[in-house]
Amino acid sequence: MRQRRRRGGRVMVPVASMGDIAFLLIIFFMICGEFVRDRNPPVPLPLDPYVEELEDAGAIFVTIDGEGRIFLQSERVEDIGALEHALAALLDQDASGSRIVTFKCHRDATADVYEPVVRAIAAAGGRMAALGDLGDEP
Amino acid sequence: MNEVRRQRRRMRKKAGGQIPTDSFSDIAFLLIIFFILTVVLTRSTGFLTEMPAGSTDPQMQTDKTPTVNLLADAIRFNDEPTTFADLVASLAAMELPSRPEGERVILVETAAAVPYRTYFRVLSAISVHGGVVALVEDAE
Repeated sequence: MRQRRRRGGRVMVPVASMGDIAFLLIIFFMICGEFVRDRNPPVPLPLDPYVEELEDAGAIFVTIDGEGRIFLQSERVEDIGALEHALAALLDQDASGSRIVTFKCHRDATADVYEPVVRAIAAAGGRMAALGDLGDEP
Repeated sequence: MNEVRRQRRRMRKKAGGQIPTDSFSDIAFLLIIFFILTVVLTRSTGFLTEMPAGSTDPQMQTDKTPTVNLLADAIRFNDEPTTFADLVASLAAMELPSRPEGERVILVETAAAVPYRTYFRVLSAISVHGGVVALVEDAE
């Protein structure tokens, strides 16, 4: 039996399963990811061989940048006393009850800059989760 | 006329109660783009430490409380010069996790010029070996 050849045959790409693939990718990202909560400026972190993955880094972020500026939840804080009061208020409002304050500091900042901040976190009753990168200092 | 009526009836039968699903994949891809932009796959690394709040009572700072003094270019443990590796070995030898909570305190005194990377390493070593970090208050 002769089969007719279609003139100007078009190649059809089956797209029926594209929706299924897309929903599978969505489920993957929903399960594996977490939303970005830290809006403070990024700083180079110290290297340490003993750091571990933090399961819950908390929702309160304090950052000290390379110029010694202190940021709490992406807003600049000028005074250590104000930082302590603000931290105490945020920790009281923390629904999870973990009282974790995530602390990021520029690796070259000096003690006269970071130690008052660490004391403020302790005085406010927070538990400090200090962030660092896995590695060893040269 | 009858032919027209028959055609209309056929079209009505064909078009009965179908939900158009052509745009489902467009909606799905928009959601994917949203999650790609807002989600972070990497996790934070660091250490978690508890620090006693309030000022240090001088009477609590007994001769037996281990003290780490951080200077700009040196580390001292219980007033003896040491290296970071030796400090870690000393902390491991103390077997802090097996001690009661009150005996796990390690005092840390830091000079003004000590960089944060040194301070971080020392605090991390103390926390990993089961110690509780207490900061020495400056004398007023």
